[in-house]
Amino acid sequence: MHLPDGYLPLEVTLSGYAAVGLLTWYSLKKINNKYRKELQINDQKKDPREDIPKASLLTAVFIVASLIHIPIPPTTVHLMLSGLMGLLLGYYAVPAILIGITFQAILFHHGGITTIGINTINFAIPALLSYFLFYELTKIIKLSQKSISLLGFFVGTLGSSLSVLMYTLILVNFIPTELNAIREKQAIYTLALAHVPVIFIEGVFSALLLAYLYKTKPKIIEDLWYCEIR
Amino acid sequence: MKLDDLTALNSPIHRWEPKTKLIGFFILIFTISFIDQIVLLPVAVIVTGVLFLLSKIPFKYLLARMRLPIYFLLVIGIMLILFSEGSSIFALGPINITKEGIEALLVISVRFFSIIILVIILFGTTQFTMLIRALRSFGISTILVDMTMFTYRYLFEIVDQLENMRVAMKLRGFNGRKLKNISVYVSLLGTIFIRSYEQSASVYNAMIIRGYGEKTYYNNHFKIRFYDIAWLMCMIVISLILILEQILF
Repeated sequence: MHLPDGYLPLEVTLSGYAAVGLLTWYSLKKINNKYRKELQINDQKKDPREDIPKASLLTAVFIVASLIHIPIPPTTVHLMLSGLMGLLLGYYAVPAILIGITFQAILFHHGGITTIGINTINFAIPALLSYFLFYELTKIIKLSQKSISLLGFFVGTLGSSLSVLMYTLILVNFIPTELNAIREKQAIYTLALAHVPVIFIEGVFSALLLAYLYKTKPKIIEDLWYCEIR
Repeated sequence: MKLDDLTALNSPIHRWEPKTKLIGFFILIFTISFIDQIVLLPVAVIVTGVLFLLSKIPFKYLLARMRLPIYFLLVIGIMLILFSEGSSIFALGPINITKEGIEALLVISVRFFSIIILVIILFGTTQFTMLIRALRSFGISTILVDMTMFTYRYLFEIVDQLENMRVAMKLRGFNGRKLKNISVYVSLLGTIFIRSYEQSASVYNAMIIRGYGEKTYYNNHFKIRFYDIAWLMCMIVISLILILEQILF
């Protein structure tokens, strides 16, 4: 769900830019703090740019993943994967989503230039919430293929359902005045309900993907789960 | 479709320096998203049309880029036509087409197409490396700029990998139309994840050998000429006129 240009008022799009600016600044601060903490713990100067190629390539993979259409007969859908991005990238998820949304708007015109802020916020906040929640959960749950699959399912559904909820709230609150508000709200709620199967599929997809990664290359899960910071 | 497809052309917009071009275009884009008066729409169309003609971007290229966005506008158009309130022009059962609905559709369509065309002009006439330099010169975080650069660099490589794997799957008889094949899609994406993750370590090591990570001095200085300032002032004046007309009338 990407909002296109021309639909939302200017105040909303500019607020979106301001919000994403703040969120990105906060995330970059946290990323830089992570390296300062590691310097204190290990007394080794770690290059803060070491994770950039990793985060960038995974960003590119997530952009490509949105091009994969999963069949839900009679149609196909493309996945949002916001929860999974938060889980695998942590604070890097915010700049990753910002870059992903920007490239989608510029290259494919999927979403708009003026709505980059709003679209990013709608994916980045669920991604960060997913990351916080599961960073805490991994402290108490022992990692195994089963627990990772369950966590993946929960992450996938949480991230995408929050994104759909945020989009619905924005669309409902900024309906153009020319429209019949009641009928428009009904249409928006129907659109939101139509995403319920997508939310479920996202959960299943995330669960299977995390299980696949854990089985095939467990180092990815160990590296990206920020276990070394604890 | 890469960003640098048409940057080798020579036009007044191509010759405009990237920093002032970015500022000028973004001011105009946000101004167009602000206007909602019917009388101002022809101005937006004319300004966009003139910039498009000056950019010398082929019309066929523009049409090719418009294929996907038109579907979004179709959905919005149907909603506006079917669910609008006001003076009815045509009514048939639950369908009620109103004057206000048509006007709203016109406003949103003009804004939508004008902004897309301006985006195509901006990114079609500026090399990606120049955009990166302009972002650095604006003081954008190094992490963000480097991530943008790396993502763009490897995006098309990963798209090609995905396409090759899809073709390979098809040749082996994979029918992707059933929901039960989700595990195959998972394996597809998982393989791309793992390959990209392993590639990122090699990328970082290759960059380290070339001095990445050390204190680097970038030449982010752009020579801003009178020509660039004149273009920027044109964009600002046009935007101010549109904003004042929108507010006062």
